[in-house]
Amino acid sequence: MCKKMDYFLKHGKELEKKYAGRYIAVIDNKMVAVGSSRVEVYQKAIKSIPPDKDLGIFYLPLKKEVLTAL
Amino acid sequence: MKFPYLEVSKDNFVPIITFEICAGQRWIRLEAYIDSGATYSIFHVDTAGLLDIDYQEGKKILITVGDGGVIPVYLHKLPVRFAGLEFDAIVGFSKSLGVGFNLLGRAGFFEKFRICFNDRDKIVEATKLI
Repeated sequence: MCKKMDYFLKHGKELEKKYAGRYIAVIDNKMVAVGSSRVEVYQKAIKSIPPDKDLGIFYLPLKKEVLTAL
Repeated sequence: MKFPYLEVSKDNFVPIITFEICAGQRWIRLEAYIDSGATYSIFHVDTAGLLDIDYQEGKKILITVGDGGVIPVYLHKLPVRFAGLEFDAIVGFSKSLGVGFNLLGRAGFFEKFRICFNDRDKIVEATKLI
Protein backbone atom coordinates (compact mmCIF):
# COMPACT_ATOMS: atom_id res chain seq x y z
CA MET A 1 0.00 0.00 0.00
CA CYS A 2 1.44 3.40 -0.96
CA LYS A 3 2.09 6.28 1.40
CA LYS A 4 -0.67 8.45 -0.02
CA MET A 5 -3.26 5.74 0.56
CA ASP A 6 -1.73 4.99 3.94
CA TYR A 7 -2.22 8.61 4.99
CA PHE A 8 -5.77 8.64 3.67
CA LEU A 9 -6.63 5.51 5.65
CA LYS A 10 -4.64 6.27 8.76
CA HIS A 11 -6.21 9.67 9.22
CA GLY A 12 -9.59 8.86 7.72
CA LYS A 13 -11.73 9.43 10.81
CA GLU A 14 -9.83 12.55 11.85
CA LEU A 15 -10.02 14.02 8.35
CA GLU A 16 -13.71 13.19 8.12
CA LYS A 17 -14.44 15.26 11.20
CA LYS A 18 -12.83 18.32 9.67
CA TYR A 19 -13.30 17.90 5.96
CA ALA A 20 -16.26 15.62 5.22
CA GLY A 21 -17.70 16.50 1.85
CA ARG A 22 -14.46 18.17 0.75
CA TYR A 23 -11.38 17.20 -1.22
CA ILE A 24 -7.77 16.95 -0.12
CA ALA A 25 -4.42 16.69 -1.89
CA VAL A 26 -1.71 14.49 -0.38
CA ILE A 27 1.99 14.51 -1.21
CA ASP A 28 4.57 12.43 0.64
CA ASN A 29 2.22 11.48 3.44
CA LYS A 30 1.19 15.07 4.06
CA MET A 31 -2.01 16.88 3.26
CA VAL A 32 -1.06 19.93 1.23
CA ALA A 33 -4.40 21.32 0.12
CA VAL A 34 -8.09 21.21 0.87
CA GLY A 35 -10.93 22.52 -1.24
CA SER A 36 -14.37 22.09 -2.69
CA SER A 37 -13.38 20.31 -5.93
CA ARG A 38 -10.69 18.01 -7.26
CA VAL A 39 -9.56 20.61 -9.74
CA GLU A 40 -9.23 23.26 -7.03
CA VAL A 41 -7.00 21.14 -4.77
CA TYR A 42 -5.01 19.92 -7.76
CA GLN A 43 -4.24 23.47 -8.82
CA LYS A 44 -3.23 24.39 -5.28
CA ALA A 45 -1.03 21.33 -4.93
CA ILE A 46 0.86 21.47 -8.22
CA LYS A 47 2.14 24.97 -7.46
CA SER A 48 4.47 23.55 -4.85
CA ILE A 49 5.70 20.27 -6.32
CA PRO A 50 7.87 19.19 -9.24
CA PRO A 51 6.09 17.38 -12.10
CA ASP A 52 7.60 14.01 -11.26
CA LYS A 53 6.26 13.99 -7.70
CA ASP A 54 3.36 11.66 -6.98
CA LEU A 55 0.13 13.25 -5.97
CA GLY A 56 -3.04 11.90 -4.38
CA ILE A 57 -6.39 13.66 -4.53
CA PHE A 58 -9.13 12.22 -2.38
CA TYR A 59 -12.72 12.94 -1.54
CA LEU A 60 -13.82 12.57 2.08
CA PRO A 61 -17.33 11.13 2.01
CA LEU A 62 -20.22 12.44 4.03
CA LYS A 63 -21.74 9.94 6.47
CA LYS A 64 -25.00 9.94 4.54
CA GLU A 65 -23.18 8.97 1.34
CA VAL A 66 -21.70 5.74 2.62
CA LEU A 67 -24.99 3.96 3.30
CA THR A 68 -25.49 2.98 -0.29
CA ALA A 69 -27.52 0.80 -2.59
CA LEU A 70 -25.58 1.60 -5.72
CA MET B 1 -3.07 -6.77 -3.14
CA LYS B 2 -5.08 -6.04 -0.03
CA PHE B 3 -6.77 -2.72 0.54
CA PRO B 4 -8.13 -1.95 4.01
CA TYR B 5 -11.56 -0.38 4.03
CA LEU B 6 -11.66 3.32 4.74
CA GLU B 7 -13.03 4.09 8.20
CA VAL B 8 -15.20 7.16 7.78
CA SER B 9 -16.45 7.27 11.36
CA LYS B 10 -16.44 5.03 14.40
CA ASP B 11 -17.19 1.46 13.25
CA ASN B 12 -18.27 2.72 9.86
CA PHE B 13 -16.07 1.20 7.15
CA VAL B 14 -16.47 1.43 3.40
CA PRO B 15 -14.67 -0.35 0.53
CA ILE B 16 -13.01 2.75 -0.82
CA ILE B 17 -9.64 2.03 -2.39
CA THR B 18 -7.21 4.03 -4.48
CA PHE B 19 -6.02 3.73 -8.05
CA GLU B 20 -3.97 5.95 -10.33
CA ILE B 21 -4.93 7.64 -13.53
CA CYS B 22 -2.61 9.26 -16.06
CA ALA B 23 -2.84 13.04 -16.34
CA GLY B 24 -0.36 13.85 -19.07
CA GLN B 25 3.10 13.85 -17.46
CA ARG B 26 1.80 12.85 -14.06
CA TRP B 27 -0.03 9.95 -12.44
CA ILE B 28 -2.63 11.05 -9.93
CA ARG B 29 -3.94 8.77 -7.21
CA LEU B 30 -7.67 8.98 -6.62
CA GLU B 31 -10.22 7.29 -4.39
CA ALA B 32 -12.99 5.01 -5.64
CA TYR B 33 -15.75 3.04 -4.00
CA ILE B 34 -15.65 -0.48 -5.34
CA ASP B 35 -19.12 -1.08 -6.74
CA SER B 36 -19.35 -4.67 -7.90
CA GLY B 37 -22.93 -4.05 -9.04
CA ALA B 38 -21.90 -1.37 -11.49
CA THR B 39 -21.20 -2.25 -15.12
CA TYR B 40 -18.87 0.71 -15.62
CA SER B 41 -16.65 2.83 -13.45
CA ILE B 42 -18.11 6.29 -13.19
CA PHE B 43 -16.00 9.25 -12.26
CA HIS B 44 -16.96 12.82 -11.57
CA VAL B 45 -16.51 15.33 -14.34
CA ASP B 46 -13.99 17.22 -12.22
CA THR B 47 -11.81 14.13 -12.49
CA ALA B 48 -11.92 14.69 -16.26
CA GLY B 49 -10.87 18.26 -15.46
CA LEU B 50 -7.73 16.93 -13.79
CA LEU B 51 -6.91 14.98 -16.92
CA ASP B 52 -7.60 17.99 -19.11
CA ILE B 53 -9.97 16.06 -21.36
CA ASP B 54 -13.32 17.07 -22.75
CA TYR B 55 -15.46 14.36 -21.19
CA GLN B 56 -18.32 14.98 -23.62
CA GLU B 57 -16.16 13.76 -26.49
CA GLY B 58 -16.59 10.22 -25.18
CA LYS B 59 -19.29 7.78 -26.24
CA LYS B 60 -22.52 8.77 -24.54
CA ILE B 61 -24.56 6.05 -22.83
CA LEU B 62 -27.42 6.14 -20.34
CA ILE B 63 -26.98 4.21 -17.10
CA THR B 64 -29.81 3.22 -14.80
CA VAL B 65 -29.17 4.04 -11.14
CA GLY B 66 -30.69 2.75 -7.90
CA ASP B 67 -33.88 4.80 -7.95
CA GLY B 68 -34.67 3.78 -11.53
CA GLY B 69 -33.55 7.05 -13.01
CA VAL B 70 -31.01 7.26 -15.79
CA ILE B 71 -27.90 9.39 -15.94
CA PRO B 72 -25.80 10.27 -18.99
CA VAL B 73 -22.28 8.87 -18.87
CA TYR B 74 -19.48 9.50 -21.37
CA LEU B 75 -17.09 6.61 -21.87
CA HIS B 76 -13.35 6.97 -22.46
CA LYS B 77 -10.50 4.50 -22.65
CA LEU B 78 -7.76 5.70 -20.31
CA PRO B 79 -4.52 4.36 -18.83
CA VAL B 80 -4.88 3.42 -15.17
CA ARG B 81 -2.82 1.70 -12.48
CA PHE B 82 -4.57 -0.53 -10.04
CA ALA B 83 -3.23 -3.16 -7.63
CA GLY B 84 0.23 -3.09 -9.18
CA LEU B 85 -0.88 -3.36 -12.80
CA GLU B 86 -0.99 -0.71 -15.53
CA PHE B 87 -3.60 -1.09 -18.26
CA ASP B 88 -6.17 0.76 -20.34
CA ALA B 89 -9.69 0.72 -18.92
CA ILE B 90 -13.03 1.97 -20.17
CA VAL B 91 -14.26 4.51 -17.66
CA GLY B 92 -17.20 6.86 -17.70
CA PHE B 93 -17.60 10.46 -16.63
CA SER B 94 -20.85 11.95 -15.45
CA LYS B 95 -21.94 15.21 -13.89
CA SER B 96 -24.99 13.44 -12.48
CA LEU B 97 -23.24 11.12 -10.06
CA GLY B 98 -25.13 11.54 -6.80
CA VAL B 99 -22.20 10.85 -4.48
CA GLY B 100 -18.90 12.68 -4.09
CA PHE B 101 -16.61 9.71 -4.53
CA ASN B 102 -15.75 7.96 -7.78
CA LEU B 103 -17.19 4.50 -8.44
CA LEU B 104 -15.06 1.62 -9.62
CA GLY B 105 -17.23 -0.83 -11.57
CA ARG B 106 -16.62 -4.12 -13.29
CA ALA B 107 -15.67 -3.19 -16.87
CA GLY B 108 -11.93 -3.19 -17.32
CA PHE B 109 -11.18 -4.10 -13.72
CA PHE B 110 -13.09 -7.24 -12.79
CA GLU B 111 -11.86 -8.93 -16.00
CA LYS B 112 -8.30 -8.51 -14.80
CA PHE B 113 -8.72 -9.14 -11.09
CA ARG B 114 -10.68 -11.36 -8.79
CA ILE B 115 -11.99 -8.88 -6.26
CA CYS B 116 -13.12 -10.20 -2.89
CA PHE B 117 -14.77 -8.28 -0.09
CA ASN B 118 -14.03 -9.34 3.47
CA ASP B 119 -16.43 -7.35 5.61
CA ARG B 120 -15.39 -9.13 8.79
CA ASP B 121 -11.77 -7.99 8.49
CA LYS B 122 -12.62 -4.81 6.55
CA ILE B 123 -10.38 -5.71 3.64
CA VAL B 124 -10.89 -5.88 -0.08
CA GLU B 125 -8.45 -8.08 -1.95
CA ALA B 126 -7.63 -7.74 -5.65
CA THR B 127 -5.88 -10.77 -7.13
CA LYS B 128 -4.56 -10.60 -10.67
CA LEU B 129 -6.23 -13.18 -12.93
CA ILE B 130 -3.81 -15.25 -14.99
